[in-house]
Amino acid sequence: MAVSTKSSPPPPRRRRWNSLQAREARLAWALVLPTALIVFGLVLFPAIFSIWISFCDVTLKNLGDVFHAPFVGLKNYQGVINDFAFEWQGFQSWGAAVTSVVYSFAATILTVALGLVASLLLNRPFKGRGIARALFLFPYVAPIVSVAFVWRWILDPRPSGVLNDVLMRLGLIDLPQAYLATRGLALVLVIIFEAWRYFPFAMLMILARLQALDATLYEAAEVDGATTLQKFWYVTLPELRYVLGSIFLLRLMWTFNKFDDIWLLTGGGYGTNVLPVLTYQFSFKSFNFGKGAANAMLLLLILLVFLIAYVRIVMRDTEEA
Amino acid sequence: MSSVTYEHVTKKFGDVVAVSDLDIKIEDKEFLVFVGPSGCGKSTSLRMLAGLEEITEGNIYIGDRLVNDVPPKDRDIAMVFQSYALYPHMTVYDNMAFGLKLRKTPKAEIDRRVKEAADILDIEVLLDRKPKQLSGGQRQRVAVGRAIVREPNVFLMDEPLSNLDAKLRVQSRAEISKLHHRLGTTFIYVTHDQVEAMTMGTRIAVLKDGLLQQVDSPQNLYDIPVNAFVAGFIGSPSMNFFGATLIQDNGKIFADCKDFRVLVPEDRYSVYKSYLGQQVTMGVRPEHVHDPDYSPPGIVPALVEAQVEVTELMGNEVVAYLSTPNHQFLGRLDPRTHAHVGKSVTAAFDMSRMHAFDQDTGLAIR
Repeated sequence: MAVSTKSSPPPPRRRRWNSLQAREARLAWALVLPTALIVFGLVLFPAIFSIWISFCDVTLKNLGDVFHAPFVGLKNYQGVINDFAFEWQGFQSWGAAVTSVVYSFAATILTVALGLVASLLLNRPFKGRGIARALFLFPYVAPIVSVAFVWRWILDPRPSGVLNDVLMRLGLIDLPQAYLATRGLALVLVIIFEAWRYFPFAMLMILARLQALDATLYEAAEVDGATTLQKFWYVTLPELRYVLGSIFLLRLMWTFNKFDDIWLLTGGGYGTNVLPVLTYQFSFKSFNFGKGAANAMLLLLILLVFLIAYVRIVMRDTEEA
Repeated sequence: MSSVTYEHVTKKFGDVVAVSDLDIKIEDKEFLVFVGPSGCGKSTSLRMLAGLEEITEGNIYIGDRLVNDVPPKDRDIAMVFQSYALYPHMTVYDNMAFGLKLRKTPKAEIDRRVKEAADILDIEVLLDRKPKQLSGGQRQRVAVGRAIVREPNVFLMDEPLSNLDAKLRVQSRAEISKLHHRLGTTFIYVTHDQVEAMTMGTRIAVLKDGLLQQVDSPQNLYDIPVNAFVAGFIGSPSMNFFGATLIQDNGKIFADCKDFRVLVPEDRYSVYKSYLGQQVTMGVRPEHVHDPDYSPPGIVPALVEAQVEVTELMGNEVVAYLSTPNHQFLGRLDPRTHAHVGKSVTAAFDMSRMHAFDQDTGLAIR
């Protein structure tokens, strides 16, 4: 018997085309394929293509034959970095790079702070809490176009603008002010708008964590002699550290890439020109698609620096705990 | 060190009365245990003392001081919670030092007290760890340590052992008792486990449905329970109850349980006389049900024929589930017993240890 086993050829390893395993695999491919095609066509290809474009001279004149656009190396990048709209020109004109960083960080910090306050307010049970929560969500769920225009209507420079009207009636100002067309104030306003619009997101996430906190921790702290402020500082805040960190990172990335909010409020004017708006302007105002793509790549690079810093600092702590 | 006085304390949650007219004085250095089934108001009683629940009616004193409106931190108490409630982001050291830090105790003093408590509890090596890195038993020690460093007048413990496994619980029980002797402070302890209550308490307060049933030493609760509830709650396995009629025959008093009739000891006659001809609840603890062949000397036996349903061999004894046509009861028999499942056996009730309760009020007849 031993001899016959030794001489017989090894069993065929070839998987038959209609074996159960093969059919399962084919089904898996069939199910994934539509999504894979969409992801490739709408996400991966444009992303890779725009990297390519950022090294090419693509303008209106050769848009019809974009695949044969001349390769220009880093010329687009040089163009962007030396562009007065991108570069720091001094305190009177920050340039889109610095404006973007200031805008994103300020808006994100304010969003998280507002969300924290709101979630603390809505955490304790009170009459009408459900309605209050729904109301607090409103800025986040309302369509961006409508809320942006409500804000523009409030801040309208004409005497009929809500804020102007109110302040003039109160006698606080004599002449109507152009709030969104005032350098400095315009940036502050878009930051406040961003925080107002997105704090409900932070609130929801923080609230979820707060609700999961062990209530006896607070009782223990109370017996230990902690005041309300000390309970917040020593019990609540450390427990919220990771959720606050995550929200901060997500909001920072999203705000950094934000186009529509600023576009709708100021169109990128009066010191509110951020990198996404600049990308749009390069591409669809001056139709220099190569420069637009290069600008978008620089935006991505800055974001990557933040991301790596975050992972290094915050995520390391997470693993320790 | 302080006494604690509950003076007609009532706690209502809306319409629900959690604690009703609790009136009890806990002496200085006493180890009082609140025990009862879940929802009996024992935790609420403790939390009112801690200041974590408001009192609806009545007064609570710590020492001579009325504390009704005193915030928890000013009551000079320390509490150990069932979930331990350790601050997750702080090390063991910081957890223990937290209360002292808030009180602005000097650093050297904090350090001395934390080290001393850690020494008592044998957790010095854990001081740098976070609660997540500790086992259940270690966490429980840290929670106790956090209470010790405060050097409070009264220690409050809310089921501190219920999250531990059985073996650790027995061990921790003895350690908490030792701690009580060592610190010489008033301890107030809440548990649903009557074994914990019996083994640890100098006195036990039995609660049921928010009402205090009996406060007494463990031995007295066991020997002379005030009512059928306490009799059934204290002792494990719990007391056997039989519906019985007290009858007089030839100048002797018997408890007639339909299936069998047992002779009542003569020293009870004067007390039971007024119940002659009436239905009462007779109680006999399983440990007072013997195999007549191996019964200890000095008992007053009354023999009862019963069927053996189940036997549980424990090594030192056999817990036998016995039945007569109208009754079911347990006996803790000598392991040499001849009781075997499916067979009948003669059980000897030690009538000198019998109890009788009024069937309407549940109160002990004495």
